[in-house]
Amino acid sequence: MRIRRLQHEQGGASEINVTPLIDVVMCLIIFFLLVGKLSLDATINLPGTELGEADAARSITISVLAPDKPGSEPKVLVEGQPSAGGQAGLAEAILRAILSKNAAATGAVGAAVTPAAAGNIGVANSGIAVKLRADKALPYSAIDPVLQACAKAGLASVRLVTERPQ
Amino acid sequence: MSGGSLQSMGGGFRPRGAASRGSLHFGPNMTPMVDIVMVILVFFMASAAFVGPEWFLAAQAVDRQPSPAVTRPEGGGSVQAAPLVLRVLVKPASALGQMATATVVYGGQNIKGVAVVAGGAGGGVGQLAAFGEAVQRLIGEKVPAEAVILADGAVSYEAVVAVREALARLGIASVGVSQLKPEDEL
Repeated sequence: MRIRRLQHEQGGASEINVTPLIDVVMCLIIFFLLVGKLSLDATINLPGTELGEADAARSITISVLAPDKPGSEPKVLVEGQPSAGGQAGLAEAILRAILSKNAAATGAVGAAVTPAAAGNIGVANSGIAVKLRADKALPYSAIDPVLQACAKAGLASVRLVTERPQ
Repeated sequence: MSGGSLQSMGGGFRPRGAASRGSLHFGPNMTPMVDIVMVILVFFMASAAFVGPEWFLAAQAVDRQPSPAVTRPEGGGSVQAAPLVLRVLVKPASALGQMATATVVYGGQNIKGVAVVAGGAGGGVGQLAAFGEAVQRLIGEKVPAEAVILADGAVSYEAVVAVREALARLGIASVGVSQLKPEDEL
């Protein structure tokens, strides 16, 4: 009787303290925000290989997504941004991504994206690799234009991203 | 019974309505916040695609510009022999269960119709190894430094990667990948 009266007087002592719960849930949210990939290329079904090399440090990612509807063209994303304008547009987008990555590393943000600028930094020797993430079900005819665009942009070496066995 | 007598008994008169109970709580009401935070948490858990274990196979994008015609040097010198390049022509599957069929050409010899069966994580590794063994028999002990995979447009990307993996197993570091054209046919 006395305990019940004390609880009543303290007001809410019998309720659950939610503060630790909120702390834990907030930590979980931050974890999922950091780990989760909400970009479009998260849906790519990568081919699996038993052999491979570890990921490169500096790279740009080109993703080739399977078309949404049968008969439509596969989507090509350069650093998560859709590319348009065929092979020439794709080569330009690759060049732009490399230059912006290089500018971010050297601090020359806002530099013009021109073939001359690409020549100045030496795209092929810039140490920036191209990672190709493509859906394994795609026909090779959807992949070849991307490789050709890479060659056109001065990057002949491409890394085919595959899934490592668990 | 009067109120005074109740107080003297230690019980006292306490209002028991909802409003009076609420007045005993201090600080903001956390319930709506917990609800929203929980919804956000569930959303992130459901939509998050974890970065799976990934690695890569290196490949070279082959520039298909026509190569300049080879001319014999003046004075009767010999033309420098082109390095031996292993060529793998990958075409759509010829039988059920195959990913593709490969024709391997090396130094004037060739092996035709080698099945490329699903490689990858776990499945069909043995068959992929058989493809590698067939190529190994063709090339002998001298592993070429370069190889080119010429894939038909209709062949799946997975098959091309499987062939690339088989060549990597043979120790061929530099492998070009390009689309098969009619002039590449034997």
